[in-house]
Amino acid sequence: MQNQNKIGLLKYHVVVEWLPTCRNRSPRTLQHRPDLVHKMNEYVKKIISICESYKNPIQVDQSYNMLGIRTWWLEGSDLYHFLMTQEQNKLNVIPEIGVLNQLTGKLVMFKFSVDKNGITLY
Amino acid sequence: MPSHLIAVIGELGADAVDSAVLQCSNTLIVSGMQKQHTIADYVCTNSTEQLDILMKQRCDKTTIVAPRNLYAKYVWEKGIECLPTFEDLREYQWNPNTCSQQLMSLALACWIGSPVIAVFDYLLDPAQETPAFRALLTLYPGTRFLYVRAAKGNKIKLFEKVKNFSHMDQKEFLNFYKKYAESK
Repeated sequence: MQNQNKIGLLKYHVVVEWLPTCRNRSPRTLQHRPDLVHKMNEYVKKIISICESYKNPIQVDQSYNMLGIRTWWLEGSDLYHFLMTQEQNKLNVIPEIGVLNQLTGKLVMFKFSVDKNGITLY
Repeated sequence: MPSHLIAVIGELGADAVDSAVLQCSNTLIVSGMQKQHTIADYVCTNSTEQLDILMKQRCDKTTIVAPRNLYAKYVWEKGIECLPTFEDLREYQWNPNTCSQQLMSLALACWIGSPVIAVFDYLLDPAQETPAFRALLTLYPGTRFLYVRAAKGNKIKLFEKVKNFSHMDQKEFLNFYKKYAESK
């Protein structure tokens, strides 16, 4: 319950790209490709499992998006760690982060790059 | 619902602002490292050095507000927000990185919105601050701006014909607030 209350405050948004073979597939194509759907479902499960290893609430959006899987994060430190470890988890996060501005209620968008020294935002 | 009164602490650095005066405000916005930053609701800064210190000293109640490029450094942390893009100021060559911190604070107060905005310890200079203040007075004719000094001193004639501007000392402000609160 406490976690559900916190969901409303999720501040950070990133999209994890689909596996290369699953990218930019229309729902129509997917209807005829159960093999890809299976792969995608397994991939979502993997992301959920990684997200569950964090203490703070994270929302993995289950609705289909051609770009990838949308994720919402409460704690900046959790997302920072997730982005830094994406390579070892064999994930590819689209290098754009949305941060909810609590003054305006809008997302402030930043491009970012990750290297061994950390994350740089533009 | 907009706040009844927003107080803005400027960067003059000459006036001691009485705590009784500050208690009249619903929202307190402080410019950079002014003394009241520890009790502020919002602290506006466009200085990297001040931002670093403010982020270390900030209490839970306070939100630091910084322009996008400075905000990026602390994006992973709590208690900081990106300064909104003030659409109303677009035609005034508004640049949050080069303007004064007190102007940032005043612009934020106008953006949040309140029938009354009181500025304390606020520097007016002919080159930048006075024209900027005048622009805000014009842009927000429905907002009453109170220019409050510790002691009233000479009358400010710069805004003599501006209907939504009043100059007063802190004692007069307290009297004003008493009547204003009663009228609500």
